[in-house]
Amino acid sequence: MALPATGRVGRIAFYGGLFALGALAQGSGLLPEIAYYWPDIEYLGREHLFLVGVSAGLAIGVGVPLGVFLTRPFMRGTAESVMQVVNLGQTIPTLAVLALSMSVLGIGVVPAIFALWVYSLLPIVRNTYAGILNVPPAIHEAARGMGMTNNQILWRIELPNALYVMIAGIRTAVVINIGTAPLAFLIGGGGLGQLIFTGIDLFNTGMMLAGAIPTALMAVVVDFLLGLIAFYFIPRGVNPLR
Amino acid sequence: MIRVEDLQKTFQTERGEVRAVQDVNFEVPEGELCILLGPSGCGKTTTLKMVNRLIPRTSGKIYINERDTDEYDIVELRRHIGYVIQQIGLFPNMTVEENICVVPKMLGWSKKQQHERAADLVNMVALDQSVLSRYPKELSGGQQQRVGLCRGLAGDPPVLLMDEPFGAIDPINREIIQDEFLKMQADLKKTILFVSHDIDEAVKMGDKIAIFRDGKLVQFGTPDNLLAHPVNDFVADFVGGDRELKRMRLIKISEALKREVPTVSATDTLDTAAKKVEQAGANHIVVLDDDGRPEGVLTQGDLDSKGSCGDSAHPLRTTVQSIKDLRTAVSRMFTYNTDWLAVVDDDGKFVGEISYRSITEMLHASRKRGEKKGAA
Repeated sequence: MALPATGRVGRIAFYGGLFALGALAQGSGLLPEIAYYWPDIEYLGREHLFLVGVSAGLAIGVGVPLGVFLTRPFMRGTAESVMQVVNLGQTIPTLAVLALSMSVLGIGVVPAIFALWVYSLLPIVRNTYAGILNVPPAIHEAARGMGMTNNQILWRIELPNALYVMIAGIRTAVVINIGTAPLAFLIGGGGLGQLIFTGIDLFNTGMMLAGAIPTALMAVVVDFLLGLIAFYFIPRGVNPLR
Repeated sequence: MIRVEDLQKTFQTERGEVRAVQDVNFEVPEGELCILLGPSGCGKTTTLKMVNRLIPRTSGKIYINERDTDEYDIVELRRHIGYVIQQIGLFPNMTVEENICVVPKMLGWSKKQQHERAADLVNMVALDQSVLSRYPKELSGGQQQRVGLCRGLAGDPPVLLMDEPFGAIDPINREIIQDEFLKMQADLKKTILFVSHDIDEAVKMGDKIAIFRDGKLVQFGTPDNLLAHPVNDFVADFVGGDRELKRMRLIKISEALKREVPTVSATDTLDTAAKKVEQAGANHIVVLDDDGRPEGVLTQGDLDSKGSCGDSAHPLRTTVQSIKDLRTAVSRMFTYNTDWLAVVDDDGKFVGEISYRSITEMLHASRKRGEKKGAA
């Protein structure tokens, strides 16, 4: 069984690229320099994961129900306007969101998590909303005509059929979240941003990479894990990957 | 039994009130299949959906087995009415078996009962058991519609609503599925409302046909009645200028054949044959073998010579079974360029003859009978 998004060519290119980077790093003496920051990487990486985990978890916890709520019949009139507001949230630059968050909540972990949460919310809400609305009307009609209650239709028809799109939204949100989280350092939220920004300020390439590379790896690995979940967890009938 | 009384449906639109269904009354007896027929927008689908309350009605009553559908809990009502739609609407996230067992599961059947029911139904629509574990996207359109049919029947509902169930299937498969469905219906005897816009399908499938136009029920009756006596120009146009040809599909050869025709056996002499032909005023005579099967035919020219009938007979080019319809008979007459056919029963034994003349007389006579009945 082929894994998602990992064709043979892609895999060879990935490992080849990784090897080349490693060779380059070792050759330029960067690798020992990065390794020097290992204890920092470990500590700040954990902070980073915490920021991402809490903000993304809250975004899923709020985004999915909100997306579902917007598809309910009594919301038909207002759902689109609510979506516009959520869309607006995404158009504001990340730094501006952080600044706004700081101006209200002060500095520290809480405003950082809040800003990341706002930023992750949109893809999840939008995909949940679109996924459920895209369930074909015929399926809906058949379900109602057979005497399913609204709850049964939601849990047994709408959510399973929207699952692929929903998980795609969650993947996007989490990956963006991991990539945005370094900015949290700017408002005292900690995380790998500390190595990146300090490295930039000090013209210390090793230090900067010690923050950047783990961040990038974290995004790739988490995306891959979520891909695995999507692959095995979504029923075969509605899973375009198998 | 389904009884519809004074059914009305009014939609409010931007351009004002639209009366989608007006004063519709009809009754479908237990075990019959009634076709709701008409051009699009005539109110037939709206009427259908008001039965299981997918569309709320403005006024009027619908009774199922003498019980007002308003008295049922809406979910309960729908679980006891099979529902099959043109777009099929199989649930893509469920296997075929799970799809079929949706209603049984909601009705609280045991796992074992559910599985047996699904296996039985799949068997009934001539699908292999292996489809049960497959997903809808892995089936062809025809297979999907068969599964849709199984799903509609799964809870063993007394009443079935079908909204153009075979509309999206290619013509060849449609014929096959229609035939299979008619066979099933002969055993199951469900009371069925069936929406169609295809007069041929209606004539073939329906015990009764209800023709709709602009939200009104224009004519309700048996297919033969509709074809023989359309109440107005609209119905006449809708059933088509070839409606007498369509009627021929409804009448079995056994109803129109001439049974008292002269026959001879192969061992009779030609003299006997000549006498019989003269007596009956015919121009040919069928020669039968010892088992009563038609073996050949003698025409007047053959009768002048001497000898046995068997020796002089020409072989029969074709025969037709009495259970077939008149259309088959006429089609075969065209094919073989003949104006009569020898008719045989299931065992191949000769039962009579059918000719152009007997067919036209039959159609005419039954039309006259219908007119008298209509007048009285």
